[in-house]
Amino acid sequence: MKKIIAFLLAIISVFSLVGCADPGNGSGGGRPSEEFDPNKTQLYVLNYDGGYGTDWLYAVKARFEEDYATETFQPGKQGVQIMIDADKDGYYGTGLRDKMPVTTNEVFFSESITFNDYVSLGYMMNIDDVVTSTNSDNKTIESKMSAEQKASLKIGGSYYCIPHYASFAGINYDIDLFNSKKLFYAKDGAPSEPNFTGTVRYTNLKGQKSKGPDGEYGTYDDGLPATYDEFFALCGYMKNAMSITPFIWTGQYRTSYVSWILAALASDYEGKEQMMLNFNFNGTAKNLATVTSTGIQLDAQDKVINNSNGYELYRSAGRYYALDFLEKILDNNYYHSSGFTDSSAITAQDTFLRSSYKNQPIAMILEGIWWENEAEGTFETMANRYGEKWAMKNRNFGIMPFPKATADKIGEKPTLIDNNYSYAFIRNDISTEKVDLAKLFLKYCYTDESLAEFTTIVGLPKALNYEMDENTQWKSTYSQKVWNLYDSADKVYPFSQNPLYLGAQSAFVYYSTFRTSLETSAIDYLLRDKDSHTNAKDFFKGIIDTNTKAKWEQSYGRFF
Amino acid sequence: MTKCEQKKKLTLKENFKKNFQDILFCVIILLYPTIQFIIFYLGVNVNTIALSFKFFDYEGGYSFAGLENFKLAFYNLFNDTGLKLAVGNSVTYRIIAIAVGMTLSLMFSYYIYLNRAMAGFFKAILFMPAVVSTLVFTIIFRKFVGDLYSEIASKITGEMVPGLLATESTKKATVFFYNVFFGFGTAVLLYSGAMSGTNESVMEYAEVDGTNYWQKFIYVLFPMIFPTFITFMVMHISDTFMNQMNLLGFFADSASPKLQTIGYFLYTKTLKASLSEYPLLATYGLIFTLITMPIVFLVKHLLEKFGPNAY
Amino acid sequence: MRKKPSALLIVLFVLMAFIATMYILMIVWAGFASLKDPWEFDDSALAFPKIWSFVNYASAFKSYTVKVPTPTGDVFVGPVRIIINTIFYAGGCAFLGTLVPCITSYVVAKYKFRVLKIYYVIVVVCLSIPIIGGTASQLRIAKSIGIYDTIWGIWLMRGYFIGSYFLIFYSSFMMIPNSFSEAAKIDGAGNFTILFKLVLPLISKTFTTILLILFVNYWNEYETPLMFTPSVPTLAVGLYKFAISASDEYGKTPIQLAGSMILFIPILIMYICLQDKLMGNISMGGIKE
Repeated sequence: MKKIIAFLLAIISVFSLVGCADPGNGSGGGRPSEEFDPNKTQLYVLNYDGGYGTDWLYAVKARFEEDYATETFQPGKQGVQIMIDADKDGYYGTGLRDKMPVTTNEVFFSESITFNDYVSLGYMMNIDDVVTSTNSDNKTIESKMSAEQKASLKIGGSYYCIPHYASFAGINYDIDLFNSKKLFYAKDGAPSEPNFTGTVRYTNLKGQKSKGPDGEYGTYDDGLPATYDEFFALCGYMKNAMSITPFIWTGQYRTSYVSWILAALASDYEGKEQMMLNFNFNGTAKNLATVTSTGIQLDAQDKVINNSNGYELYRSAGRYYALDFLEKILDNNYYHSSGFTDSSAITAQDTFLRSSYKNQPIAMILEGIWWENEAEGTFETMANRYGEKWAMKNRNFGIMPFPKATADKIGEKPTLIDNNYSYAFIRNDISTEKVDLAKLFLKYCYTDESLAEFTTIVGLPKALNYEMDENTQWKSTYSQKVWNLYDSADKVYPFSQNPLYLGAQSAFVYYSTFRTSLETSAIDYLLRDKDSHTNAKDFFKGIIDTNTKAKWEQSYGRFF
Repeated sequence: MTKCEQKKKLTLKENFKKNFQDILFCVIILLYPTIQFIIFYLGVNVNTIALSFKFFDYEGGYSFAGLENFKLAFYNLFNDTGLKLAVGNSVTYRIIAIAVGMTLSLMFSYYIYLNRAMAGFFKAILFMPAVVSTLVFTIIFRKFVGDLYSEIASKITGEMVPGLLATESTKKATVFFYNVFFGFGTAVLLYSGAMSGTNESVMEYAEVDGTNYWQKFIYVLFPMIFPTFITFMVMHISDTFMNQMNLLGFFADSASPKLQTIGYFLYTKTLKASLSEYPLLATYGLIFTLITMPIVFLVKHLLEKFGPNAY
Repeated sequence: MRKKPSALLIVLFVLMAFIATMYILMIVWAGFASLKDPWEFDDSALAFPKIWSFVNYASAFKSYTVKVPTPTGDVFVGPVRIIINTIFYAGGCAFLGTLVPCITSYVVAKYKFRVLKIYYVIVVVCLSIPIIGGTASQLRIAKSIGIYDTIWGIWLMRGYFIGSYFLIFYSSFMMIPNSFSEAAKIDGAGNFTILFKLVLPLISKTFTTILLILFVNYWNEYETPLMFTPSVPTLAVGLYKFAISASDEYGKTPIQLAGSMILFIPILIMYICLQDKLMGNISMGGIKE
């Protein structure tokens, strides 16, 4: 035993000497990523390096450092050096919140932020002046926010953070496949068309396509299915006539990814105003329904919603239609087999992207809009192995505006629900001499030029209202399609300052409300089981039965 | 003062002088552990326990809630199906871990103690999951019962067969199986060590008396290692409501309520909780501690009182 | 005369053989799968590798380069340094994590002051308390007393007596007759001499085994170093970042399995070399009082 302990101690001692020479504050032992310039003022910026990457921040950094190269922010120094800390795990959500007392970063671009917590704990600086003062583009950041964002972001009348990127999930489709296999509905060839001939026809000819969900010809959604019926007719056609697998999704994370899709479908059905009721509990609900033996029956009367009866919102018809959509996919086996294995999101993307090459085409992938960025390596590998034809720039993907649950909703604006709670803020206790610099930099990131640059580099939108030039050099076809949808849609930012909402935020995260007391995974529930048939109606009823009046009053009584 | 009291007073002084060395030794040894406990446990966690008696509201901050959190916690425990299931799963898993896992650990240790065929090999292999990172084994197991199983089963049946963790009828069994059959490690090691430390001549006498292997174990060996068994029972029962059954590794935060344990429930809720939600979670924690503690001491007492006595 | 095989032993043999086969199959499969091209794996998880992709290990090893933010800029800590960090972290934590419960339980077991029983009760109580939201408080305390982001700070945090090893040591000490120490005292030995020269050698196997078990535990632990020593990344932190990575390269199963193997193999080697010590017989008695 002595020898063992001696051996271990010897190892520890040797490396303690190494450790002393290289103290555990990480200041040595590795190569630095950027040369520290002691003649400049450093500003430490953290960026959550997920699907949106950090390239955009490096671009801002380059411009900002150049624009302010001769400015003095600290005595004896000239210019500024933006020190970027780009990382993932532990740098978002409650992990970041817990680290705030010990972080040295000063400006933050993160996600999954419950910002009221940060403000209550004194972590976020009041940046009212940043948001409400005129920027170098002669606009205020506040003017780029929606009315709902302004209402939900102000705490005590002041702003403490600014929305960062927009994030939503949807049905992403292979435009090349749709074109090559003629999967677009033809003009007058879809049941929803005003002059439908009675025969379903498909096409790939521009100008010969159906109106699509927006009910107008000549727009970005032409030829796409306008209703659920058209959508599933298309899926049946793909599978049975064309040997195309309609859908793929990640098996490992199917519960959360599919929950995002359910939330997105429900939002599209409900519309922005109705969706916001789920967070502000203040308004009139118009789409409440009860379960019948064959489906649902919409309530004849609208219902006034307040804190005391928020449980009624679990009867929103949008939830049912979303579940019904999912049920149809599963019942008809319109999905790839890997959807119920341990396939990661990356694997699902790979399978989707390679499917055409392997002549086992898959038409659509259920994913967040960041998926193409995550798959950049796959595009590159495909180009290297199979030729430039398969590179990202030469392939065309799009995001499909959701078809409408019922034909009467054709023409309604699509509604997107944000799902990543991404915000930018400044740490409250940074040194006073850096405050002006931090605010200046944050404002700089929100000029029209910076917003457009972000969208061009990342290929995805920021969660604000701004314009993109017609002549924009889009990162890919997909980026352009995402922008088209984003620009034409209403956006739901799922947050409010209602004390009831704030008192139980995690319970009101919309996509996580697709659960019953026995099931957290709608997709696993609805997967056809040989012994028992499960359906959307039952799951919808389960949601309602889980969120009863009694439970609501017991849980949230102190808020009304 | 009477002579008796004088004598008593002298004895106390003498006692103190006599024990001074021991007292000083105890203080020196316990100084660091005690300070460490006060700072890193009490200092950190007393606040967590106090949360059970508070509300948090973003306008007013913390306020005294009395027993309101407890009322809500008990209401949920009796009315929320998911929570009731989680309690049931925690208890069920613990019973299975004791009935199956501990029994098998004892039996396997006995086999190893008897040094039968391949005993050394089995001893090494059973300990491997304790050596390998849980993250590693969970990844491997997940892929094994997901990708590999699905492919093999699909080829055999000709139909698409989901992985074992994706199928309703096999999820729970798969999770239980993993937790029991990959959790022998330390128990086998410690039991076989305890068995090796027993008096071999007693076993030899039993052999001479013509007892079979089962009788030797029940009537001779088990009583001799019974104190070790008690230690493990205490550890097992204490862990009932903290065990997460590796659900995080299998399902991230999306495990079905039919599978969830209280440990998993509390952990995943805490990951996403805002400040205002912590008090209720802290309350659940306190309630389960108050339930577990007396059970632990009762079981220990009963085992000590009624268990086999080797001596 | 040859003994008749016992049914009990046959059943146990079969069960253990099944478990052993399962473990080995899984690890062998993982080993082969880690050498497959990711797209080959997507096509078939079962098939033998057609192309042996040793590059997966290079990619995985590369992932064990962890970026550490510092006041003077990011620093990339490479695999060698990470391995050193891991040995240092695991060794120190294991040593203190073994020594402190050992000596604490000795005092509680062998000295008959009633107040010492509180320590036993604390251990049992703490084993059953699930702690909610303690991380932020721990970080705050660590920072305020100046031990945040230091290896020695982590050692101090890990030198606690609460936990199941206290109970194991306690029961070991209870089995040692008091006559040993009484005899030593008569011979003039002090309390420290009795502890370090007489008693600890008697439970040396238990001590060594627990030390090595803890070393392995800390080798594999990622949560604490991730939060408390971000500047001193360990192998397990590297694997964790890897496992949750959605990056195109590291999100692929064969590369994740390769990363797992990288973490597993050193431990396997240590396990083989120190098997006897690691699985040495622990003399352990009971906690009957």
